[in-house]
Amino acid sequence: MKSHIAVLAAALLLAAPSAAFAQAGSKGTVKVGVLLPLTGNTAWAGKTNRIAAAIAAEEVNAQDLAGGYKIELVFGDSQCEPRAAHDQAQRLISQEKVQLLIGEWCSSASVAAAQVANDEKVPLLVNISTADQIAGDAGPYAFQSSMQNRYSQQREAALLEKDFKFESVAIIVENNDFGLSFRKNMVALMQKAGKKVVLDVTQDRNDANWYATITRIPASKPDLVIVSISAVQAANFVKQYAEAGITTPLFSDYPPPPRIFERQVGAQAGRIGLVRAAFFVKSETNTPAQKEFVAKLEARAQKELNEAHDVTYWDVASYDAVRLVADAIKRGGPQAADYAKAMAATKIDLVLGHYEFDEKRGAKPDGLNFVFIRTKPDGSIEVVQ
Amino acid sequence: MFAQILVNGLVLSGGYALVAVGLTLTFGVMRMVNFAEGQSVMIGAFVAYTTVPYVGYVGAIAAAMAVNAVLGIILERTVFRPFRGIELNGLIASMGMSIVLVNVAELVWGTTPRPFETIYNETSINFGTVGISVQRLICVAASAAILLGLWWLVQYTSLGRKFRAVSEDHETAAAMGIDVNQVSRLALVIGSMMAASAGALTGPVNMIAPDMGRTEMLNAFAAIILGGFGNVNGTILGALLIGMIQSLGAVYISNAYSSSIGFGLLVLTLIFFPRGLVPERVDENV
Repeated sequence: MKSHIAVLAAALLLAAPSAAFAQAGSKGTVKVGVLLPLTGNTAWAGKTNRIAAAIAAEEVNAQDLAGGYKIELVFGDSQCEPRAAHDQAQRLISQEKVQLLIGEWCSSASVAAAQVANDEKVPLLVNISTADQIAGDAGPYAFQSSMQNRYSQQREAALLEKDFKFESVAIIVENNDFGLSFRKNMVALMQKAGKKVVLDVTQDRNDANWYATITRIPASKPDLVIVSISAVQAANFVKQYAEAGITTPLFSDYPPPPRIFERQVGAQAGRIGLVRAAFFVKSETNTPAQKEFVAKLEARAQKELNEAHDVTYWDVASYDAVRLVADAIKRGGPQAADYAKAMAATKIDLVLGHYEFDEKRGAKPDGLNFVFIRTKPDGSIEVVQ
Repeated sequence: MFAQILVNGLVLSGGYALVAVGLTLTFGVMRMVNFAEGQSVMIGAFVAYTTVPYVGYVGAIAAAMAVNAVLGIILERTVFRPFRGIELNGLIASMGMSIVLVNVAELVWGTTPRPFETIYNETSINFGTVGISVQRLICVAASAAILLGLWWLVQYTSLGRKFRAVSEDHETAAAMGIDVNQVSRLALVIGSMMAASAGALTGPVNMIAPDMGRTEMLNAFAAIILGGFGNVNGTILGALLIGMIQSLGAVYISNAYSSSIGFGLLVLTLIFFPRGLVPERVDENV
């Protein structure tokens, strides 16, 4: 009899984990729309972001992290463009019948998607875009888990005052919600610090010809040039800045993706001594969770895209977003109002750090990763702070 | 600073002119618009980027032009010839081909933008306080040389006369013994080769990526319309104006709307000169 009980107990123990895993989907499937730039000039990022999100969904389903619900991701190619983001959000909601949304990448596109989400009362988690107040301005169905520009710029301004000796600055941004939000904050911070803004330029996001702007820098004689330009354009800018032979120190906001950027224009950035902020950089100082994620994504990207990939902040943010959504479903279910309430009450540690939301549904910045890096003359990266 | 603005404007103009003249040539001969011309610029840039370590920069430009010549033959056979006389179908087919070319480039070279470095990027000549890379100066000189070569070809060679004859009336040209298909194919081949040269020359100035070529295409169309549709000389003048105005406007007015300034001027010009700055005269087409 004892042996029978022992066998039964052993069988139950062995069956227990699989029984628990089998619960995923027992309450049904939640369709989650993910807006990413899968074509266009930001597709290079969107493709690995998609893989990162898919890894997270697989883990959620395998480990029942959504409280008995299975997550099914439906991707929309929003191209980093407001019109495409608007149309794709609409398509995902009306045709694909998604219950929840994640995205977009570019702030202007996220603003457009947030408007649709709020109108349709489908909760949206803006996980990458950093323009200020995207969630706050859109309404109660929008959340923003990325660190907003105003917080990033406070940290950046503090570093600039500490590490650079300057009295005047040139501020150069691209003409979209992301750049204009940066510019507004940085101009205010510099003026507050008693610095003189001698050149303040915005440039069309699709205009790769930065040379015209660069020719204006020597004439205005700034001690420091501060730029906030998205990834590809940042590489174009640095390339043209180095070509022009300008020696004024250059600081960049976070967009250039570490290592990918160094492969593109590391030599030029190293010659300039470019310092920039980053939400995440693969390094020895990464947490175990970050190291684990890096290993997973790099292997998967190699397999699916057949290319070596250096994990970026946007990959991490895409992974974390799906985990955040799953966590909120687990606590509140997929119905919009309950889900939104649960999302607002989020307190969770994920790959980038600790997530909590403030009263305007924006992520509190304190728990999130933020580093400063310098490109060395040999094109490699050193973490400054 | 004016020297830099001037060179910058000429670099932009040169790129636009190469694309625009290729488009004009194709349109003049075939009466069809090649919407894949911008993607031919991109393919040219990538081919030059891939071959430059093996054959040097001049060889890479030649390789790009050779590959695009083949591309031109494929385009003529698959996209244009089947739809001759049905402009809308040809237009849609060439748009479709432009998407196919982007996807092919994404498959071959990936989606991450790449730097196209030549030895001329690293060498800058100082004009006042700002340097200009030798690469930019090469862009200006090579664009001018290629455009001059095309002008000579159209004006003074037997092929040029055939281009002009087909452009004027392809049925009469055919009745006179001109192989219209061959002339059309050559027009498309030369147009593609010019796009390749634009990609190979301007590619090193910025990053190259599968989605490049769209801006060049848009500005090339503006140059064509400004110059007077179908007129090579007018197109070059249009490209020069668009490039210079964008460069000057970016510095003296606003960089945020440099494209709008260029296109705003286009609209204004067309109000006063509805047929462009150099109005089309059929016998001077191509």
